[in-house]
Amino acid sequence: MAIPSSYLARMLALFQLLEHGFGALVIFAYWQLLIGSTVPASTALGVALAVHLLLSGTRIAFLLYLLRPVRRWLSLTTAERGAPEALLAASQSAFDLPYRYAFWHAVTWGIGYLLVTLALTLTSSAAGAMAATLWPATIFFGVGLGLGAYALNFPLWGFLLAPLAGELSLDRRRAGVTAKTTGRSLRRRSLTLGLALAFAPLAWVSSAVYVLAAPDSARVVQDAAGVTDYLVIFAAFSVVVLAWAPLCAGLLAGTIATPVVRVTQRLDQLRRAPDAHEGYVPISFQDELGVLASATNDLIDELGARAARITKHEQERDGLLRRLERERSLLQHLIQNLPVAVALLDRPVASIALENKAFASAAPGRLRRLQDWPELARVAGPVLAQVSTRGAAASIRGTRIRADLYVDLICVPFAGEQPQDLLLLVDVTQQIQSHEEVQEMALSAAQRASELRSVMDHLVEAVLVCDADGQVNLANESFLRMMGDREPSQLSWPIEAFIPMVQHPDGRPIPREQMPLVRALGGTVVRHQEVIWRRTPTDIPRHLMISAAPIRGEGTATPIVGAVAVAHDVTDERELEFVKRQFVRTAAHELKTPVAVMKAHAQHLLKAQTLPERLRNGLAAIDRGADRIDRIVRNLIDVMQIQFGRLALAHEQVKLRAVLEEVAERACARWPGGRVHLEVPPDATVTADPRRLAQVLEVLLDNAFEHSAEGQEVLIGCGGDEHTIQLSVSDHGSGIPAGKQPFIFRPFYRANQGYEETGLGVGLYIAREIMVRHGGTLTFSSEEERGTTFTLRLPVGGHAS
Amino acid sequence: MTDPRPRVLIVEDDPDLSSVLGLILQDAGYRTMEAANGARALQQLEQERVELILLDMSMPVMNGWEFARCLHDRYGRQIPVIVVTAAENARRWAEEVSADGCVPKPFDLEDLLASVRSVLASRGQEAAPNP
Repeated sequence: MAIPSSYLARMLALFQLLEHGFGALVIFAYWQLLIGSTVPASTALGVALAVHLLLSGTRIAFLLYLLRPVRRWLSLTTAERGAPEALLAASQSAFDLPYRYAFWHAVTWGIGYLLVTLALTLTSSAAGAMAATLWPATIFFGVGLGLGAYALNFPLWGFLLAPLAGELSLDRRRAGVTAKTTGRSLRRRSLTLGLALAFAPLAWVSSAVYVLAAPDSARVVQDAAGVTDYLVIFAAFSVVVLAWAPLCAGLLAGTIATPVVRVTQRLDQLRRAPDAHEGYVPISFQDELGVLASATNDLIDELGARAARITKHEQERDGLLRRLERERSLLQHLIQNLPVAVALLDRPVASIALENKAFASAAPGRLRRLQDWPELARVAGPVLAQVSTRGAAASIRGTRIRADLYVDLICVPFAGEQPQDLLLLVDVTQQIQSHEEVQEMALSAAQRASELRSVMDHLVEAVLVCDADGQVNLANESFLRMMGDREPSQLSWPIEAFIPMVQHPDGRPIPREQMPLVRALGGTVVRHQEVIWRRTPTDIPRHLMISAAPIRGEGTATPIVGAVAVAHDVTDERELEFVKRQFVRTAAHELKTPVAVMKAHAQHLLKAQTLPERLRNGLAAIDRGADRIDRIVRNLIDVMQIQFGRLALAHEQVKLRAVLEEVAERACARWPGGRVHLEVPPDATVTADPRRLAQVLEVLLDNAFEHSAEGQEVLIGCGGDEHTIQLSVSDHGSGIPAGKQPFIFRPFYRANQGYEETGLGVGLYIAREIMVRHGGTLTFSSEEERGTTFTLRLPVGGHAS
Repeated sequence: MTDPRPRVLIVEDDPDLSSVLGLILQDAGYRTMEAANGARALQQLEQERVELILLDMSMPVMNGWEFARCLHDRYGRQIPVIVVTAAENARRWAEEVSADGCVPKPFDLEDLLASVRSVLASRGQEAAPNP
């Protein structure tokens, strides 16, 4: 509710009405009571009216002065009225005005009739004559007036300004401006007013009594008219008091009752509707009532704040509850759908309070107590007992609770309203089973490894295995013996460690990439790489024949995971070969030279013309014997060379006819009566070693003549195509017995049990080996008593390799 | 007047063979000299000129290869050489020392003489008729 600008004007108008109304009554009372007819009425009333108007003007002026902050505040717009300075100044003015102004009002009213009496005594002789009684009566009258004015004005202004002060207090609270609400005491105000109310009529009565009872009073009751005067005076007096006193009391009661009623109403309203936090009680007075109203307003604020807090707390609580509900349902969902079996057991009998799906499906049926699942109860019982005594979680790993179910069993104490235990069963069947499988596999692998190890260790050959990084980490006993006992603890070597220990057979070092294991790691299967092994430079060298192969994972397309090498010590064989080679060389030189001496002497002596027959025959026999020794030596050398793979062959264009004619001629010389029929074209040529080819034919012709009757002809035929040339040597001799046919190419298969009846029995063996090394063949067909045909086949262009 | 018969140096460590070779060649109308190894042969060559050398390859002190190298260093190819060896690969060895002929041991007397004659003939030398 806004205070209108006209508020002050209306208030002042009301005030003027009361002021002048009472003023008229008081002037009349003064004239009647104190002056009477002693002074002309016009004079007395005129002076009194003049003084009244004069003083009333000063009061209006003072009032306007006191109301200046209020007036200024009222002149402001609604928005500007919230400014703290203007608000505080206006509030203070509204609060203070009744106190300040009531006093001034009382004083001016009190001294007003002293001034009137003074003026009358000075201007009127009659008045001057009665001054002795008039002055005391006027003083009593003035005191009564002052008290009366005070008693009226104080509550009047409080009453008039209360709406303004209340409105200002509401504005202050809205603007958050604190003003002093205490300072004036209601009790003192009431007491002051009560005293004024009591003493004012007393003063008036006293003044009248004094005027009337004074011995020298002008207003002596002398007649009936005097009595009438008295009655009039009392009547006027009564009218004044009757108008004034209830007004004073009513105003006082109003200024006290209204704020109290407002507070009471508001409190009652709050009691009935605690949520009505709006609407403050206006504070109209700066006294206990103001404090009461202020306290009520604070209470309203506090209630509002509490209500807001409660609302906020309720909202928070609701949010919390919703979240709890959400989490609870999530947790329930989680527990229900966990792959772990969960059950909540009530102590002490382990009755199942809650179980999830996994537990229900694992259980043998619908369970009420843990005892209903005896296998689980047997395992979980001790754990539950341990949990209840220790108060801490306990577990068992990998226990079997069903024929096909292994679990990790975990028990956690759960301190709810009643003690419970949370039982969790984690299915570990697969892990346990795979663990068992792995163990079985490991055992079997270990057995196999042990068997393999044992086999490896009993091998004469050294075996070593390296991984893909070339680290040798498995070797057998033979290899460890090769490595010597210097570092028996070391069982792992990098391949590089062996590089200084091996050489090519010709003494060159072997670079890393040619090491057998390295080649095997590269995917090559190494067969029979020969190396010289010398663990330290001072060791006796050993000849090793090394084979190596890559090791792959399962399947051949998988990456190489390592390599294995097998080293066979061929030192003894190599030494034997060396000895044989040395023998051949020695035989060549040391046998041939004496044979040459024998032969040269024999032939030289045979040239003498005059030689006895006996001596000539002897010398010829020596010559033939030397030839036979020479042939045996040659055959031996050939056999050795064949067996060492060192038979050297020349590759020349050979005219077959020429070779055959020469061979046939020599054979016929050796075999008296022998005849050879050549059916070979003169231009037939072949790429071959002519001496070796002649040697083969010589063997075949010698064989043919040997097994033929003297004088029988041996046929040499020729055939073949553009790639192959074919020669056949046929006789009509005794043939080869069927039982001996499989063995005739065997070396040293001879004499009476063999086919070749002279020499070492190596001729056919050497002949066939020579043919094979030419890339050809030597075969035969024979029939006993019908003869034998040997067939040579040679590639025309020579042996491809 | 000098002896017109060609002189043959026999370089052979086996004294038996060396002497029989000497007998054979002398009977065939040649003059012969014998040396037990290459080093001796070189010494003899310094003293006397020869028309042919019969050379064994395996010898102590100085073998056939070393002798042939020294011979060629000092005299070039003016003196023909016939290798007489018991080795299986006699022909290859003969080629290695750039010999003019090769006679494997043991040899036929006629083969040896034929070889000597043909080498000397190719050098424009004729053996003297048998005495």
